[in-house]
Amino acid sequence: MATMRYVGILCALLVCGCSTESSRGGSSGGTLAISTGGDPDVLIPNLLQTTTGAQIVDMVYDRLADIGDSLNVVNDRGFTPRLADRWTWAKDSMSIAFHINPNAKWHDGQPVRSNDVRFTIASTKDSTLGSPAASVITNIDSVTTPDSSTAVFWFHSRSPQQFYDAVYQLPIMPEHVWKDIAPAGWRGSEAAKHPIGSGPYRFVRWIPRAAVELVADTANYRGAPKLSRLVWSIAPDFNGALTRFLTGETDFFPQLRPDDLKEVAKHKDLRTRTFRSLSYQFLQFNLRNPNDRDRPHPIFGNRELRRALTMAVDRAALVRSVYDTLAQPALGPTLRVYPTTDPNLQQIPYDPARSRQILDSLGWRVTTRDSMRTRNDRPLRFTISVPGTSQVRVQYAVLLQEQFRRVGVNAEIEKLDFPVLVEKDRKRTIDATIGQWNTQPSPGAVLGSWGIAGSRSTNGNNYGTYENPVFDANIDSALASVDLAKRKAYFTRAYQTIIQDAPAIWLAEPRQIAGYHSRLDIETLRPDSWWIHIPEWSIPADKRIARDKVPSASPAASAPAQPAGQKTP
Amino acid sequence: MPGPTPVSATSSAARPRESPLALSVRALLRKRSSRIALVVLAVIVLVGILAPLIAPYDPAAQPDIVALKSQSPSLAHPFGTDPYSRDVLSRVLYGARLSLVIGILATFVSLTFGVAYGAIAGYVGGMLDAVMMRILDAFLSIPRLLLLLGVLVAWPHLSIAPLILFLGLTGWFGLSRIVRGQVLALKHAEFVTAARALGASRRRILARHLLPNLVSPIAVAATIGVGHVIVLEAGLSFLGIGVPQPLASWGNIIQDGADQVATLWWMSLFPGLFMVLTVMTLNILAEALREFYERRS
Amino acid sequence: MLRYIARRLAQAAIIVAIVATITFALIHLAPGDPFSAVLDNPNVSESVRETLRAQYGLDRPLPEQFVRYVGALSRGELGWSFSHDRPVSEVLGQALPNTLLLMGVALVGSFALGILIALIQVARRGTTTDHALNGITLLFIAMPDFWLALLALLSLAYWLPIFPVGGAVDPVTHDYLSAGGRIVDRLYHLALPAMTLILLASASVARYQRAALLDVLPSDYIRTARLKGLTERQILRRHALRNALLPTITLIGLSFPALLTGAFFIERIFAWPGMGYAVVYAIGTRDYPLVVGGVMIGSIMVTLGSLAADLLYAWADPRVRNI
Repeated sequence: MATMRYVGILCALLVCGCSTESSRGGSSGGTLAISTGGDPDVLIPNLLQTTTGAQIVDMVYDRLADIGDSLNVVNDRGFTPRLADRWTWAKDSMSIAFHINPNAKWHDGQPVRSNDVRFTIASTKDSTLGSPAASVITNIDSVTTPDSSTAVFWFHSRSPQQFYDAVYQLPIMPEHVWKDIAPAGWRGSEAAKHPIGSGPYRFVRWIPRAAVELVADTANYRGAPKLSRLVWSIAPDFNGALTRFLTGETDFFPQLRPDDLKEVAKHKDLRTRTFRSLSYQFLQFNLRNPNDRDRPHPIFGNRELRRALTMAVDRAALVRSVYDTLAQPALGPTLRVYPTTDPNLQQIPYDPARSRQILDSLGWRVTTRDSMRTRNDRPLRFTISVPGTSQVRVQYAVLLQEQFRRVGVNAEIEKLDFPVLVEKDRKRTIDATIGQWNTQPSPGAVLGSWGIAGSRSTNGNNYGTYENPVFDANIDSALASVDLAKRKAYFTRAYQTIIQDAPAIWLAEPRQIAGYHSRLDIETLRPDSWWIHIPEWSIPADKRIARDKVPSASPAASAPAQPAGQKTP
Repeated sequence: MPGPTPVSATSSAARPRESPLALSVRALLRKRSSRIALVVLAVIVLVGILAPLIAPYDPAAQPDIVALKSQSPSLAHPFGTDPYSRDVLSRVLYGARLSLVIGILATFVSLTFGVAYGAIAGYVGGMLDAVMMRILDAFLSIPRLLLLLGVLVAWPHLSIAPLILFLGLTGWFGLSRIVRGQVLALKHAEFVTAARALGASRRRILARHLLPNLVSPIAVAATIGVGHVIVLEAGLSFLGIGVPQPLASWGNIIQDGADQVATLWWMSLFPGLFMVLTVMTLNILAEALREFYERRS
Repeated sequence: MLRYIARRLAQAAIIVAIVATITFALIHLAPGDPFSAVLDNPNVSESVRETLRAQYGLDRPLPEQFVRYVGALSRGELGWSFSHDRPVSEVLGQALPNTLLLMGVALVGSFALGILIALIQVARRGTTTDHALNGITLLFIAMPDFWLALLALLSLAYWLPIFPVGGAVDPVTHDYLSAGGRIVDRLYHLALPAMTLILLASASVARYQRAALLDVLPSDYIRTARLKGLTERQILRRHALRNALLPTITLIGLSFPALLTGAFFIERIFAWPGMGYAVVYAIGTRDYPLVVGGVMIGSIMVTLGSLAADLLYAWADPRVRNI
């Protein structure tokens, strides 16, 4: 089948390799300290929007089933059971019944029941909560619970991604903890500060701006994870996070830049691994007026102007400057790794001369005084907001500022704290921002960030308010097609639409470089979530250092955990 | 050491008239250390003024963001290049210009405000003086950086002009008190009463007697003040709330290289050296001025 | 003496009151509504909003708001920090001890070092040592705080990894160490920031003290001591120093603003979780109440510091008391 062939190629393409089962018998114990440059935003699975938040949530909570390392999103091939130990498709494929592992328990001792699954999906669809995940589970109609251990997902229509839609998007949340809190108050609630999940790690504490600590759930229904403690060490900025890693205060740093590799090579006990990540970066324009969302943006509301701005930027040079060889210019809101992405998508060319022509024709003339353009006494000036802790994005901002300056456009740079930027994004009060989506194995996730639903929902990710029904329709058709060639054709049409509309300048598709301490035995770094296999990471007993020998806070820590074979596929 | 002792009124009436500027220059030329400092400072100021002429490159230009980024010092780029391929030497030269301009203008604002405030308080006296002095004490109790942070959190993204204004408005407190002291001393001086009795206008008294006595504290405050503002502005730019990109200021350049401080050592070293040199010379000059004026009294 | 104390206390109280007015003005002169960030923020719970409205009377006319503001301040309530999702007084209350620790150690260290340098310079006045130390103190006074901190971090935490890279404690292992181990961990993390601040602050102390000593040396009683046959060293120690230390007490009071400013940059670069770190972070998050609360507390610290110094001076120098 064509899908299988493409999956095979996908496997080969992934630098991290395709080993699935780890049959190493690592002994348990040890602490993993991860360096990061910012706090998580919120530890609620259906509200979080930061990768740090996702890392912690994926350790504390479980999904019904986990996608395989080859990231196959079609049917249920490759998925391994988690909270659900088995599932059954209905004959007409309009529903799937999941059976919940009877041993599964929440960290407060309550058993995991099908009500929790129903609650999770219902709350995600609840518009008063405004979950960003709502727009990607539209195919799920509802979940019913014939008994306490069976949850049945009902779908609106058949699609090759049904199973993926049901299990990938959401870790399951405990109904008994959340049901009495009004959705509008979830973020500020006590429950949000002490998440209770069913996953391999228990939450210990979150000291804002300093650390998040998790400890192994040794009584976990799938067996205890090998590392007994996880600590996220939060540094005030990128340099702090990097330096902590280089000096050995932390063990893992997932965001090395090509410039840092030389430095890391000087430390004999540190290693690096380059792996493909599912992320792309872009300069996003707010198409609506930040002060009045019903009106178009005075500058970015005009399609021709956006195209002119795109023409002013030498994207290939920028990528080379920031990433050297470790990234390619992004094609659009998509990744080359998807089988449905045509690598020859037509781009808006780099043509500063034409850019100037277009700007002139739109009425933005250069005033001789400072060679910046104005129209009716209004300067062509806007602000690019970036998170101050992301050196790459700050770098891009300064480079873009100069590219724009050369065609007479005045861009100012505003560096913000990451949570503040996320808040401004959500409220749509930015002019332009350099964003990065760590996207999903399914190319359909693009609807959440660039589709109409994502624009209308209060917590949706379409921060620029780009709304083009043609784009949405093509993506929908693509997702509904089973035939690969048809899917590709629809996706291509959708991508071409959005590329020509230029709601953003597509900057880069970077590889990710992670640095880690040599004593760690790490597994596959899955492109969409490098952290997902942390429960299988281990530290051999003979390589342990001071912080590994710290006694675990949990009283059951002394019970020896079983080595490999705990997970029953 | 506490501030300069108030000049006794009688001595000022007897002194031969020499313009304050000539006096100050004479003060600075006396000691060898201050002569050297004067020369060094003059060079730095000259560099700042001539920056557009002597800088080898446009400080904001990014000529080749791939091949020329983050180069260590070389013949073509004596201070190296930054991660955006901008020439650091040119940026440091322009930075001298900007930092000095900001320092001088802000200090000018401080001086004007400080002299005005102190003179009014001293002259009017009584209740108004007491109130004004208490307000002054309150401002003095807030560290300058803290006051600036309090202002800047409310007005983010200041352009240069408002930045200079706020820097100036936070630095006049100490001088104000000195000026007030001088004015008070003068008010009660005998010879003033005598001069008034003889029909001399207030203006004449001010010009003949008050201003010469103010030269010393103003000159010293100005010299030290410029140094303070330079360091303060660098600090604010380092924190990301001072001079915006792509303008070059010494603090900005250090900020640009801060996340790779180990590998991009030239971005921290050179602007820092320039800053230290400038402030050191200013301090040496200020001290020479202070010593000179103190000896004269 | 008592009258003097009472007067100084009253003065300090007035100053604090005026600073409160200044901070109130800061909050309300700012463009936009400073409280909207809190009130519109979905992360903030309803009870917090109610408290804020009650505390500050946000819909009331300005004079009434001011009265409520002062009332809240006198109860120690400094508002709500939305970036920390906790009361400002709680955030700063937790952060302040760290800053006090840093400043306290730096105060003692810088005065000790400064006086030592001054003594050396005076004992060897005119020699190369004197000139060299003179140049060095000039250098350190001119040095921007953050630059020295960067250099210190680079050289002693990175190139020669003697000290940790930042923070007050090791976030991974601290809670699991023994009581003694915890103290050592804290000292280890305190060392580099404290040393940097000491270096920065001792330069001006040294120059001030040197000038004070040189001032005192020609005095009559010193000449008498010399005639009596005491060695230079004994003179320095027994007579000169004691009298030159009097103005030093004033200097202690005057040095709080500079120490606090220095602490801000040091805390930022070394990620030392003190008030400076919190306030600098708050700039990035536009957390007005936290910054303004920091201004308030900073000024109270400075006022108390100079008050204490003045009272100490009055106790030490009898001439002042009878005023």
